[in-house]
Amino acid sequence: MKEIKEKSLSLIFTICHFSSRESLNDGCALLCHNRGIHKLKKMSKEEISISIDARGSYCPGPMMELIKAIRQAEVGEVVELLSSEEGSLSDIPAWIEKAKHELVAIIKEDGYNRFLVRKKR
Amino acid sequence: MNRIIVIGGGFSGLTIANKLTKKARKYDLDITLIEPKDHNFYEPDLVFYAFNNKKMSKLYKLMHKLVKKKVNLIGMRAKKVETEKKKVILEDGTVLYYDYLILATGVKYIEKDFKYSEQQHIHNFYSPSATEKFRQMIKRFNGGTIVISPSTVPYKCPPDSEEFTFILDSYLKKRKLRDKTTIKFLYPLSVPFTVKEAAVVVAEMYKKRGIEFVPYCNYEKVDIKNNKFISFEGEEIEYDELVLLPIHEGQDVIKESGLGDKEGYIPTDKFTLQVKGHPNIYAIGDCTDLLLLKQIYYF
Repeated sequence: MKEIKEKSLSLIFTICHFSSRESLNDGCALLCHNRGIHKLKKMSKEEISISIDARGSYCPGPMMELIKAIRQAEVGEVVELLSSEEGSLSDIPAWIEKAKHELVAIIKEDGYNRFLVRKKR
Repeated sequence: MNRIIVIGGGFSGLTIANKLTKKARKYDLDITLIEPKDHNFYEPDLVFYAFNNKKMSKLYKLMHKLVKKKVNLIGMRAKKVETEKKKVILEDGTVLYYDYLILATGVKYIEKDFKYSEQQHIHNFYSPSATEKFRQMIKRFNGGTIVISPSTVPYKCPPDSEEFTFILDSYLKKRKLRDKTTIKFLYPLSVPFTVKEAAVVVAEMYKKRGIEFVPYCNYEKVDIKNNKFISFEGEEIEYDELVLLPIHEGQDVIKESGLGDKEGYIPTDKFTLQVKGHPNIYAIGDCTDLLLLKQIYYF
């Protein structure tokens, strides 16, 4: 249980359809949260249409790569972006909001973040 | 003898070919530079020439005067590189063999949806003819909205759009037209420059000078009939005069040779400048896929 809890805490979600941010401190919710992450990881891998590895790129590299991929994607498709650049955590959600796409999730991995973005229009 | 071929006689190609001559004797180098133009043009000054009356002929220098004697200068276009056979095919069919190849092919500007020369209200300052057209417009300008935006990222020189905007602001103040003019600066990022420390300063200066900054604004198209810039994010921004930096792409020789990505930029190691997957080929300058390291005189 403790191990699961620690693993859950190491994964940070900003926006996730399967998570409940209000109940992050609740043990039971953490179990569900963890399942949600695994479910999302598994699901997203099947759903992802375009995947971009922008790890090691500096600003504005990752965001420009994402915009390029969103241009190529069809409406409804999910684009995955891997970024180790700190600024991506604020820039990418702000751009997605302005461009009216959907931020499915930001998953913290070891040394980088995984952004899942659905093209909405 | 080690045969080195440099393709492209812009700043990168010229510099590297000339620098290599210093090592020519020690390493027994035979250096060849392939550049079809008979001149080198100093593009970085165009941002200033847009607002003055100086003759642009001052920006031209003849290639043969810039290249050192030990460099074999070939005034032809390279058509294709065959990496397996280590050869470069020129436009007339001549074949040159190399031991090491240095790609300094730069970028080309493409006019996808319209021709700048045919559009009265759309400008740029990336070529002598476009700069001249802007000069004529700004002399006649009596107030209105001027919108400035890049079209693709990366583009040749990240700071020049900001530089241009500041010079425009000062120019209009001198002509007492600033109060009658709205200047809008559109940019793909949340801040008006790529380097955050500098972006903070630029943002403050824009605010102080009354320059409107529109963040997260990526070029999609222009509604020429209604004078509107339309962004990928769905914004419509009206203009009287639009300064839109041209769309950049890698050169045909790179695409033809299968050495580039979709846009024709060469995948390059950022530490060694070695072309990925080709140990005896190097790339330098605008032709690489490196976002920040490529601007030779700024970064």
